[in-house]
Amino acid sequence: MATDTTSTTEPKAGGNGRGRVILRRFRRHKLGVTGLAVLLLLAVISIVVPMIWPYGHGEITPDLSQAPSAAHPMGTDTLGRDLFAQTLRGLQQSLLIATSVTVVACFIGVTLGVVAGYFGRFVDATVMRLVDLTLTLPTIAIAAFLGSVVPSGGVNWIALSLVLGVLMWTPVSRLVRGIVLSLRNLPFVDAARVMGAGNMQVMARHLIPNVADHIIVAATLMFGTAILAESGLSFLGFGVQPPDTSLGLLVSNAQSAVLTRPWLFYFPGLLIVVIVLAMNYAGEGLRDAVNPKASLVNPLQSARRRNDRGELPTDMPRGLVDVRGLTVDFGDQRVVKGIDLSIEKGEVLALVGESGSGKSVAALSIVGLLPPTAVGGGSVRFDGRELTGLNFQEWRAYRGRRIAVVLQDPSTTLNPVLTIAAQFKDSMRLAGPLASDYRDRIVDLLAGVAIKDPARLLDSYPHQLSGGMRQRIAIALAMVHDPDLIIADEPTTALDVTVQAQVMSTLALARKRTGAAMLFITHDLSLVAGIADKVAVMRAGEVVERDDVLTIFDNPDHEYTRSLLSLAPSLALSPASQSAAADIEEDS
Amino acid sequence: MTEQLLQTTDLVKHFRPPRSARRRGQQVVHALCGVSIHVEQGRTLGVVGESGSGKTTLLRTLLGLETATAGTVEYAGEDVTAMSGAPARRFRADVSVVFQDPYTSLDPRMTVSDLLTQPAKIQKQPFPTSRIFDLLDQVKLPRVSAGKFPHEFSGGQRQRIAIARALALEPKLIVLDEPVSALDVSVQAEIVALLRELQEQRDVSYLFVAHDLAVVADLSHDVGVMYGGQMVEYGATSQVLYEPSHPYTRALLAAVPVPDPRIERAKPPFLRPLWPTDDDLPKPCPHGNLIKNR
Amino acid sequence: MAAMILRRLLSALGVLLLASIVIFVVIAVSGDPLAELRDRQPPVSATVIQAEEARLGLDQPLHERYFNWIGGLFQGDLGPSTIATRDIGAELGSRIGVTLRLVVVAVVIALILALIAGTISGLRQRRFPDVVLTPMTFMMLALPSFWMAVLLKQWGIYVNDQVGQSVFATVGANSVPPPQGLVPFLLDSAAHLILPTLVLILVHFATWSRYQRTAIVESLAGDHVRFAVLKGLSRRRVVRSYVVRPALVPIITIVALDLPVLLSGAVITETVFQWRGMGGFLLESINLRDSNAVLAWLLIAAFAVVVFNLIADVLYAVVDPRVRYGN
Repeated sequence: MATDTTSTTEPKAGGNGRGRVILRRFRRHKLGVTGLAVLLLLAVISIVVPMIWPYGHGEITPDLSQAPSAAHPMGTDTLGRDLFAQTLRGLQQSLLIATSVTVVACFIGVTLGVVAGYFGRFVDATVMRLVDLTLTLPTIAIAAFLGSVVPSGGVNWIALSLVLGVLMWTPVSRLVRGIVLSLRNLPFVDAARVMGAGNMQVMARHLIPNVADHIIVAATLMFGTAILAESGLSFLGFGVQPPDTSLGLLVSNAQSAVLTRPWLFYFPGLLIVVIVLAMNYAGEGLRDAVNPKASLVNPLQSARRRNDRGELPTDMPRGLVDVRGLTVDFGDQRVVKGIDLSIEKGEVLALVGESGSGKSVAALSIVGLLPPTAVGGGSVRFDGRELTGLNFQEWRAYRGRRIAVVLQDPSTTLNPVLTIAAQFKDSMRLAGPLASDYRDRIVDLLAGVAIKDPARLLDSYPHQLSGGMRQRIAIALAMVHDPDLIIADEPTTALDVTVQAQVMSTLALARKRTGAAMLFITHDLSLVAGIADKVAVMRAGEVVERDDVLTIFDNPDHEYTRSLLSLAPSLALSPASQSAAADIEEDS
Repeated sequence: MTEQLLQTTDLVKHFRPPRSARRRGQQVVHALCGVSIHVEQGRTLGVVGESGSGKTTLLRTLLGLETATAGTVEYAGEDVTAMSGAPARRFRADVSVVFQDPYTSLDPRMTVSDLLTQPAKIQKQPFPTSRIFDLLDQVKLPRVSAGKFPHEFSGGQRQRIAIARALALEPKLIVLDEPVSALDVSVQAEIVALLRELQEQRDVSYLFVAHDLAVVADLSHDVGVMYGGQMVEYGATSQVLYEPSHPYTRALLAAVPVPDPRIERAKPPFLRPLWPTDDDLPKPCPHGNLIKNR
Repeated sequence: MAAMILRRLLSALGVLLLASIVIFVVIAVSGDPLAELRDRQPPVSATVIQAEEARLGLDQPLHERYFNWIGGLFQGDLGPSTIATRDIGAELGSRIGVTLRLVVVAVVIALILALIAGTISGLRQRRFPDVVLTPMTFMMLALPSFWMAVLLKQWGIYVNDQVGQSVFATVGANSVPPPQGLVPFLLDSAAHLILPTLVLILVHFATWSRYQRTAIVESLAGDHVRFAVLKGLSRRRVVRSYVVRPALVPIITIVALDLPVLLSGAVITETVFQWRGMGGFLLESINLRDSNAVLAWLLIAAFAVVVFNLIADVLYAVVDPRVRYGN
């Protein structure tokens, strides 16, 4: 939820059209734009300049082995051929071949990738075996062999491109298949099928347009690889054949001249470097434009803070947690607008608000975590001590031991590659070396969150457990050091109603046992009725109403609170839920 | 007597896990074990169940996105699976769908007007431009929306676009797959109100699938409760809410939070699922294994 | 786990078998190994050509040739060479070691460096040393390996000339004759390895460290890292078990997929530095139109790729329990 504010506001700021959005993002990537400009320039030069250049690429001039001069900007070789003319020809050849290799490889790769990803099962398995098979054929060997068998006159560029293309399609098809696999189960594909669209229609109208930008990125990167492959082959003598020339061939001819006539070696070689470098940067720029990375998250870094140290309150703090004037800014947008909150020892404060209200960011900012693009401000005092501005090491005295956090999505909060026991062990070691009966302690903790038969879970991995189970384990992990404060950030949003009820009860139980205070964040007002002592309602970065739970529900002051209450989906109208609850109470 | 629109009889869907999973000993998944429902003209059937209850499979099967292992789906008295040609096209035009996640149910590459024209295009029906504005008016979106792309809208607005698209061909039945569960509480209420209004104006039927009984009850005339691929409770909404016959329905009702601190605090803690319990297990799938698990 | 390995093994064998067919057909239909003999002036008598055809089995139909070839393989016979005196098996045997040395040393060093650099880069994105490392890897990615090889070789020669003694060995995998004794031999090998491995390392270090950087950045953004920090774990522990461990999965695949590229790079490097390894063998065989030798080479390459992928699969399962237990 923390990223909600950024993700919902960002696209609105832009105009429309995905193409235009991408273009705008690409333009901000300076290296990418430079790369593309260099490439375009080289392409134009390779076409236009040979038409006006006085020397042909095979033309022999009387100037033998000359260093670069005004007449021959790149010098000449031992036969007196103008290296500039040769390089231009090489550039032409390389660009031509790399372009056609890319077209061939992308065509095969996209077709097979879309088909494999869309149809799955048998088709997919077949294509993937084909990929495996192609990967066992080293490009250079096959291409070299095929190049050598072509009768004299050498390989023409079409044949060379075809061979390289046929051997280089696999990365594209893997990429496209992966994306199509994830797209094909998206509702918009299902929606099209419900409307009666056939397979071809779905693939052509929905899938290919949606992988198009990824294909463009893959194509740019492939272009660089193709340049290197073609020039490598020519270097070995199996690509472009004399009397025609290519950049690889020029480098090959200059092998022994590096020290005596360095221009012959460096000009064509560096040109290859420039092309590939430019293409790679262009590709990188496109990739970032197509797939903008979510703001870089790094929880190891301290959150950035506004310089407001002089304004910190000096009066006696109220309660266990005392938050004053808490702000969070994303750029010049303030999403948390100076809120005050306080929590007494053992008290449960519910912070209620809709997505984008800033409630999650505010809560995370209390434990010193913010996205790197955010700037925090204000004061947070915990048990009398100021928490803002602590470094990573100082924070460790609080995190886990005194302040525990339960996050929203149980499917991602646990480490996927460690067993449950290992994750407990990591936490338990904070209090000194592990006791020999640590496994019993884990079992106790798990039993404390109402997990049946906990011993069997110790050596499982998170992916083997259900969402409700994982969230309970996360709660148990939070309880390892009997914290004074638990911050629960929408801990049940991702869960079913019945599982939600169980997790809520677990949380209440764990809290009661340790007597910890709790900050409970949610968008659902009915959820807090059973657990909260006090409720703070947040809207658009401000706390609009704060009172004890009965007053909030009986006599809401603020209009927004009243509307939230009236809209909450409920079965309160029916006595059934109450009688059902009563029945069950009797049963148990 | 209202007209019977859609009916499933003993619908069964068994999934065979992929070969690699079968080797690990994974059994055939009984996603649907003989489910019968019926939707009448102008009325709403709500289907409730938790994830894995088979409610999504039910919906996908009757929409033709999955092939049923056994049982029938009938639309206006005709077997849907046997349909072809004109009746099949009529079914596609008469039945539309709104999915849960408004962020992924609209093709990000299409403008709103493309999205709204899409059903007609696929059905090769004429679709005057005025109809686009008409649809936008109906779901209370400004007409300038037509030229915009889905990413320029909020979640609630996108869901309105999805509803507009579902209305495009004047359907008789709209299948709603958790249409509000990805939305904020206040937006949920707006969408539900819109759906109710549309039903009153156009006499359209809904099949409303959700995991939250509270959301479904508001809009539904009848409610079915699913668990483990079976319909454990089926009846008029008031009956299901007030006189639930199945312990699972009672468990579901009890789990729904009530926005009243006094009631909530009086509730006993739910540390274990209230149903099934060790001595009251769900019935096994009555149809057994209809496909081989080699 | 054992069942999984067995399954992968079977699938690998299938791919290998398929590869052998494809390789065989491609080689067999594209060109006549005796073309040079037929074109020779003055013309060679028809009987000689027929005899050659019979010796190479060219007079048989394609599928029979394939079965003969495969049958021979199981008895350790790689088939006759176009050059009657050439023993493909024996020659390959002596050359595999040379190439293996080059490739293994390069892979190990490049992988270790890439893991370190990529991890540091990812953890310190857009700060020092990432701001230096990232452009550096971009530069390395653009360097053609043949150009680098020639450059390093010539610079090596230049340095040798300037110093007046052989600092860098620029020709061959060992001095001729190789020095006696284990230690001098190893030193001699190492001296010959430096420049060629450097070429291979540069390219692959760049690719892999970029992948590792991406993997670390993604892993770092995961909720489980945030949760670990909030549990109060030490920076070291968070980085080691919660950031790096889960990020090892992608790099394994990438390295396995890159093996064919690595082999191609080895061919070029060996050529430039005049090693008598597999690369030289391939080029010689191609120039001699020695189909069976090329076939043998391709088969060994295919075998290496398949084995490598198999190892990657197993490692994958070791690193990622989700693979081990299926989802």
